[in-house]
Amino acid sequence: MSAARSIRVGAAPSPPSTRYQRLFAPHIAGLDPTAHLLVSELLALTDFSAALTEPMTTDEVASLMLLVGLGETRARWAGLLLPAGDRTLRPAGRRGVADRAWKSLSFPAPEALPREAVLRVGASGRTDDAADAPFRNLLTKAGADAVAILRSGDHLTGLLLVGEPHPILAEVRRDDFLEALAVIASAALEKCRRDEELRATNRRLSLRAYQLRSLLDITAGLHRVRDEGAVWDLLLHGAMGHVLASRGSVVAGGRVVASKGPQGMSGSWSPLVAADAAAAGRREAFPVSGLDQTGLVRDLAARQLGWIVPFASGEVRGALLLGEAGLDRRLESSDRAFLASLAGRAAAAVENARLHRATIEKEKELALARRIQSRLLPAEPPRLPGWDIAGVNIPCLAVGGDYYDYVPRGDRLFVTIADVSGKGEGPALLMALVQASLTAIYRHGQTALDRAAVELNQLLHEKTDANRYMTAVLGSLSPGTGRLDYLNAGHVRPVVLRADRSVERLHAGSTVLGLFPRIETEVGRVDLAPGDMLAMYTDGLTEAEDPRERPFDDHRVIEALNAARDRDARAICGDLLSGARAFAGPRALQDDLTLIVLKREAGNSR
Amino acid sequence: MPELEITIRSVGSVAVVEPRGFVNAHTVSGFERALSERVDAGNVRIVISGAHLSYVASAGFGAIMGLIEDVRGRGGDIRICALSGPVAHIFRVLGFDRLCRTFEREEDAVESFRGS
Repeated sequence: MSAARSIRVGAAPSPPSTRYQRLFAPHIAGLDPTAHLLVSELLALTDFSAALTEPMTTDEVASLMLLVGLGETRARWAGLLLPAGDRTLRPAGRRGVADRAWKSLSFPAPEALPREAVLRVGASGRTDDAADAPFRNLLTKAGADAVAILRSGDHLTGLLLVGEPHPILAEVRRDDFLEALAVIASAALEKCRRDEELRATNRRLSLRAYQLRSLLDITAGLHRVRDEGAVWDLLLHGAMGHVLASRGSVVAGGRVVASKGPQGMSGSWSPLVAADAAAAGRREAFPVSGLDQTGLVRDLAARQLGWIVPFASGEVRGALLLGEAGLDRRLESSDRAFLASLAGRAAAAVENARLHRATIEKEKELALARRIQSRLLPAEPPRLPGWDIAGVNIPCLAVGGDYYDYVPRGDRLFVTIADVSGKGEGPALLMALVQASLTAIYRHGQTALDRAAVELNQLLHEKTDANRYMTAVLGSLSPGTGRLDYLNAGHVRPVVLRADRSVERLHAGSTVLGLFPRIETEVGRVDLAPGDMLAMYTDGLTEAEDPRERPFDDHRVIEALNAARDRDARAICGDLLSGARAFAGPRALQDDLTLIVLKREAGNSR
Repeated sequence: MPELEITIRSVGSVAVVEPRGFVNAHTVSGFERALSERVDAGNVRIVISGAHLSYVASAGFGAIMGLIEDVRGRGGDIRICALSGPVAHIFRVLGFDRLCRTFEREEDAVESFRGS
């Protein structure tokens, strides 16, 4: 039959309450009034329980509970108090006749609960039960007739207040009904509370995860930017985004370096700078209200700046001033730590950017000095018939204190190698002075090496710091005869490698130059025959160290010279240099290195 | 593909700003510039469409916050539309949807400026 088919097959079964209602309803009319009442209450309770199996919010549970309670008790009104978070219970809902006092009710949850689940005005309460007292007071205050106590274990989770019965309806006082209603509702409300707590926890965790991700995002961003303005902008964006503030400024070095938000914040910046000063010495983010300068607090409040976050990284010091957090959010200690961390990272990024810029400037200056210095060194070795000459200079920094030069004068070639103590710019400047002076000394006819040494010593002693000195070998070569006059002023002894492979060292001379006001001098002489070779070098070569800190030393230098002696002078220089570099390995060269090789060609004598 | 691409459309008197990709520390300056250029040009009715937004880091919210008072002070507003997925979740978690009016459809966001 089509009528039979109209019953929905597979539809959800009716809830038990409906089934009970269907079952009992036809018989209620025939029951005596007391049984009638009991059945009605029973049906209301099953109905209520069944409804609670559906997912509900606290408000929905409260609302349903009030309606059921009101319906069955015939009271004029019913109201629910629920925990408000600070160990008090406050109105959460009400049905029935309004009472103005209701809204301002606040009930501090007592430690002890009365044994009864329902208390009623005028009922003969046991006088020895002090736990009753607060509840009875509440009944009086609220103008209620009864209170059902909702508990979870030993805790008070809510109060159902029921007003006096409706005058035109029969008086019904069913405490056991209220008690049952309270028990059922209490379980449902507790479940709602836990669900909401879980949701709030999830929300908080989500927020923390998001904030952490944002902190990483900003930290990575700060690493990338090199421009100070961009760093401060990023700090403001990050901080304002975190607390949802609509204004903020950054003060550093006594001025406002970045600002976001309404233009009303411009005008006089002095309060912001003053706030920065007030923040000095503090490490944590703190509220403006925590400042004691009353004028300043007023100025900042006028700009709606609520928070000061000091930062410092090296010379970069200042404060982030932040507007009040949006949505009336309170800044928790984790928020303040977040802001302090963010500001600290920004300050470090700015410091890095400044150091980076300073390094680039310094490198530019050094490169320039290097260019100037390289012009002071000989561009090409002199070409003399019968001689093969080469020199090499490797500064270990961009500029160095080693020096070598050839000055032709008459039929002589003045050869100089020198090493000013120290490395870097100071020695390099001194080297320039030595080069200019020595060239002038030779060119103005002072060709005696001992006089030249004395003059140089005097110049260095007078013009430089007391601890600054120079070692040098001054040489004067007659290319035609091979005679070399020399003066070794405390320098590594040059090596003469004879054609027969015997070795002589050149040691005659003086102490180092520039350290003492006067020096004793001695000019030595050596004759270089065809096939002989002279090598002069600085200690950068002999003191090149291998990874175990052993020096390259004279012994290895002579060995290497011997091995390369048949090659031309330039190649010999190259061989020694690469030999020293290979020896030093990953340590690289620690000092300036200079080497001059003068070979008297063997063919000349034949 | 760049991390963030921003297209700007005019729908009547409303500027629809549509960021595509990621608003983060790397891209936030461009995002802020796109918005502040609208504001500087006197275009203070702004809808940010999240239709193609993959992510917004807090710096991005900072950029919006930095402009919102100015925009509102000039009779305009910044409204949000077409949020979905993780981005919608972020807006909700932060409570940003309570600071800026949020719409599901762009047409509704644009329409909301009518008569205002």
